[in-house]
Amino acid sequence: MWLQLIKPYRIVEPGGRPTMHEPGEMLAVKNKDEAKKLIRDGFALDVAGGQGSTPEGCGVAVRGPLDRTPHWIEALDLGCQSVKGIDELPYAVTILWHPKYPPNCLQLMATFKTMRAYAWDLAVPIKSYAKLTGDIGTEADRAKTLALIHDLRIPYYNTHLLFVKRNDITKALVHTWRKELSGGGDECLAFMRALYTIKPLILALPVDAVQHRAA
Amino acid sequence: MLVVGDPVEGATRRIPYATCDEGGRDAKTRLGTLSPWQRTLYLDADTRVRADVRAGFEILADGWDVVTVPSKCHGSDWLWHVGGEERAATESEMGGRLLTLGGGVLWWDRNERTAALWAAWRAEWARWQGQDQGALMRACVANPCRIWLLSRAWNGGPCIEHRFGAARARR
Repeated sequence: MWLQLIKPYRIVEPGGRPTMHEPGEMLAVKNKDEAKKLIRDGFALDVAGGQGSTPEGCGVAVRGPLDRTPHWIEALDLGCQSVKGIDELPYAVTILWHPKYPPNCLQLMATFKTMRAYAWDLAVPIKSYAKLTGDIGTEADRAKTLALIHDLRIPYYNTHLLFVKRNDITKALVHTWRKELSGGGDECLAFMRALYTIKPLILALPVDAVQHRAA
Repeated sequence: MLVVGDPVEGATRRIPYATCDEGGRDAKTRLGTLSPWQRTLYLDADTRVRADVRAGFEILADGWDVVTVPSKCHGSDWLWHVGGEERAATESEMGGRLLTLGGGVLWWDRNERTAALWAAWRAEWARWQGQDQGALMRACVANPCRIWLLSRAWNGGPCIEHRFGAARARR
């Protein structure tokens, strides 16, 4: 049974050596009672059990090279391929994922299902509830963004994890995002400008849709 | 400025409304049809405006349907103020704890997407007739709109102060 840790957890290996495992890591737990205890005590999530099957046509596009398929993708039985650019959308609903941070698998499944059930074009987690658009990038980049979006006292999105439905609107969005990025500058500010320009149906996700600790 | 219900000093228009519930949510969840304007800013009675709110209207004019603020109730505080049965049903129906929006400060443009959202909000609120935030979340998820998010500065911060619950406490 695959579990995803949501708190640090120490496991004593067969040789007696303790190993610390971090939030976001996947654990293959063979003992059902042990798995149930981890879930009950709030250490882990059952990434596939109780969530039903993975919605058809959903897969992960990994930004950059990938040595091996991450456990969470295997556990959820998702398609996976490496892409070179942010404008490649190989699936009907693509998770455009930067492999630095693992997603929260329960949020991921809920989001996939919401995307398939309703007309949302994309879903993206908010990066932070405290750090705002006006707190990132260079002064010039912020000024360029402010000129378009009116107010920088707004949350910005975590571009490490985008759920993108493939359609003309999202194709325009990723094209505009790439264009905004071509002159350099902050990726998140470029995304905010592209978002404001294209105006897709965007479902904002909570910050914890992404595990906070780097994989 | 339009006020629904009790008279308020400074209001230019008033819609009399017999209060059906303590929090005024019966009237609030009908605002999609009660508002006479193309673009409206709704404010809870316990908010105080401290900044120029035209930014929200400018964003609507640029083509967004709704401008609002994420709720501060997330993580272990997710919908903490909503009844247990409604909270459990919301989590179950959504398949998880999706983002909740604060319903106390809300700019919206009148169009077919927001009309559907308001109708769904009303219907979802009617299921339990308690707090309105869980109902707003369920309605939002099932009725996609172009939603532009502002920060807490605009709902409980320096731009729009929110004295949560103060209006009810003074009644």
